[in-house]
Amino acid sequence: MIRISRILLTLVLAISALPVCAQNFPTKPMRLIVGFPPGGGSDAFARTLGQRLGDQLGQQVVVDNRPGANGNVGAEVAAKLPADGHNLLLISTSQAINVSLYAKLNYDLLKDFTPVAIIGAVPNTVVVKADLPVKNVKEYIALAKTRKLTYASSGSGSPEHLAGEIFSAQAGIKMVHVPYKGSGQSVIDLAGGQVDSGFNTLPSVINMAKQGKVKVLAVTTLKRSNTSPDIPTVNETGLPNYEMSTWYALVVPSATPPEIVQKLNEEVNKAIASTEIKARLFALGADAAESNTTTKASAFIRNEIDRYKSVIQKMGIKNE
Amino acid sequence: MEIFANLWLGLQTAASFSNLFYCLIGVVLGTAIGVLPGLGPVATIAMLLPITFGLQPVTALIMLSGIFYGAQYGGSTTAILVNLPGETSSVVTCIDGYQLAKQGRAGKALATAAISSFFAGTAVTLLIALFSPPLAGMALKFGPAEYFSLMMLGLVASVVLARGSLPNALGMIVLGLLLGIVGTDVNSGVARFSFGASELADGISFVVVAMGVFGLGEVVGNLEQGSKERSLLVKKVTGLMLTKEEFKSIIAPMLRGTLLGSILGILPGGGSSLSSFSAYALEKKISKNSVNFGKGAIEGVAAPEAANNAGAQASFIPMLTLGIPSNAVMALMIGAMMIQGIQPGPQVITEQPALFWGLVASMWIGNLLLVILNLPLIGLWVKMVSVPYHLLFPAVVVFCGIGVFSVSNSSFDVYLMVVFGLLGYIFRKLDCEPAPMMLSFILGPMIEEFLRRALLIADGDPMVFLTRPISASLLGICAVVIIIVTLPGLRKKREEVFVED
Repeated sequence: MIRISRILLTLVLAISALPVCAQNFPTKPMRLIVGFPPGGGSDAFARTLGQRLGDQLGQQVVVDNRPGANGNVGAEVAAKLPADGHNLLLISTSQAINVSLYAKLNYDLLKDFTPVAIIGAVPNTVVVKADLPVKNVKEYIALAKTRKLTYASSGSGSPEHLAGEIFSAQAGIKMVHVPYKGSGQSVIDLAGGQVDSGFNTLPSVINMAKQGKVKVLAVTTLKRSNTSPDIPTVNETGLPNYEMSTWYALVVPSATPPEIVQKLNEEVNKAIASTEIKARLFALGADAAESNTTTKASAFIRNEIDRYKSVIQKMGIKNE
Repeated sequence: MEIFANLWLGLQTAASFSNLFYCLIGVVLGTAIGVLPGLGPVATIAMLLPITFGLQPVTALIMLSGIFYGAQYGGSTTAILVNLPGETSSVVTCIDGYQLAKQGRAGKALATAAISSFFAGTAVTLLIALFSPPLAGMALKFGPAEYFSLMMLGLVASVVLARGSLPNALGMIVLGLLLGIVGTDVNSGVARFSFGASELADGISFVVVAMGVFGLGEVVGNLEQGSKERSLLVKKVTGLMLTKEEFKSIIAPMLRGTLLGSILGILPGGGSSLSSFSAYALEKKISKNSVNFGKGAIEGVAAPEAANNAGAQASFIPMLTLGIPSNAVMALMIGAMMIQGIQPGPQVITEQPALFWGLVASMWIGNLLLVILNLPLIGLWVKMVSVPYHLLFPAVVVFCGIGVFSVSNSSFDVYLMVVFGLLGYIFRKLDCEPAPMMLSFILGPMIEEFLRRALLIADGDPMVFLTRPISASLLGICAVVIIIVTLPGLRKKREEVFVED
């Protein structure tokens, strides 16, 4: 019985994997895998983009959350799906970090997937508790040289953790890393003055900053964020060329026909150029990416992976 | 008085036709996902979030919060009827609620749950209206050291949850702690006991353990008994509504549960998960009817149900006044507000009074709608218990499967649930109560996380737990509880509480 159903399943899969031409793509509802649970940044990005892509392509895009292991579970699932363009995966900085962070992965981000386009990025921030006697990045670095400061991140190996480590290395300081499970509790402890400082995404701290419960010293993007143009960058206030944002990108299994990848790239670029999506992402505290080709997206992701590899090797952290 | 003017404004906002309509949709949807085991409010709210873009901000929030407290409400139904806790908060409702159902008093248990939830909802709505800002300040006073001590107190109290032998209870607590160790270590990022499976990297899901041990374990245990004995399981259904005496007996537990739930719910670091457990434990200690706890005490349903609803609603306080999310649902609510262009924080009360007070008033209206909706439904639900078991158990198994799968869309979790189902059956055979294990399974990882974080921040100095006043007092209460449990002179009294028959 099982064998018959296996054969049937294989047949169905084989038929659905037959070459589809880009003209009549998509032929059925599409699936967008997200490696994080509903409610997080990745999920918000996926649902915003998914809805718009669905409208543009005339097929529904179903967001499929497969949370687990820093986004690895979702990527493992997506790597095995039919490469007909109907299966998409949303990746972020996390998966690019995972390449070097984990000793063994059941998928290969570079070999198993082809990038479609970069969608946008959320700036991280250097944030300190309200009564820490510093006003800017320079004073913060100076204080860290005189006494031991703690900094919170949303987890060991998270983009925020790497932001802190790259910052410390470039500034030549040593701080105590206090990892949290996600950013919620770390922001509360910052507001309560339990930790001295933190590296957090801009949207997670901006409310607290407006209430004066925490102080945002700088954003970690190269250029100031459109969402909060009055906050300076680390780049302009002490550490030249420092950059560490949390970006989001769309990828598909690598066997997806090139003309379909091309078509998806055009659609994503159309979506992120629209005022509707720009406004949605803006409300989430994110900046939509500029129009980008698949080659450009691919080069960007490769470059990010290499950059994190060297940081992680220097830090000596490794997840078994 | 200003407060009445504010509440009046809120009622006007909340009672507009469209707001009432969306409030109704919210609570109906919430009840439905609460009744379906495993399906949680987080996934539902995340999926519905895009729909709310087109609504007025206050309408969107009214509907989303309706889903949240509606789910808390519906969760108790399956806990009572088929011993299936869909959420952390309904585990203790199973203990006495299911016993009541077996005795044919399911209607009374459901009515108690409905009335307690409504009472707690009303009380906390007033609390939010009167004291939101000062209470939110309290939440910030809790650092890692305080949370550690609070969770320790919860763990010590979990011993009280057990009936039967103390060594068995301790064994189950340790087992729960061990199960909680599975998953990625927060500080170093090393995966523990995951055996290379990515699915285990984030630890074992609470829903998997609860559905397996309670749901499947119960099914296997019941099937083992012949159909004759099984039909005796459910005695004749007696009276749906509470008698005057029963009503009197649940008033005090309801009040205590509401108080405890409100206090714990305000704490953003997982305090609310303790609310129903601790309310039950407290009640078991001080209730006049404590002998019957675990055998179908109506007080054992009233207290935790009041506490969990109070806790759920009190978690709105830090969200509305500080923009602090105390759980995933609140994080989504903040997201919903930001998309509407509203920055959560203290200024919401002054700048958007209609939104703030409208939401507060809608919570009360929503709770009222829940009672109106659910009291007549009790008659229908109760019939479920008299459904022949050979029809009921496949449905339970299917719902367990769907519920577990829906948490993270993972078939691995479904297999894992089967393993825990087997374990649950063994526990039954060995007369081991699963409730203390569930509590230590939830608390263990939090205790570890807060302990290590507190030490990391304090540069490894363990005195931090004693030099901070709140933490020291909580640990002091822990010590007192341990002394009471172990002191020889008091042991006799304890045995009266613990040992059944």
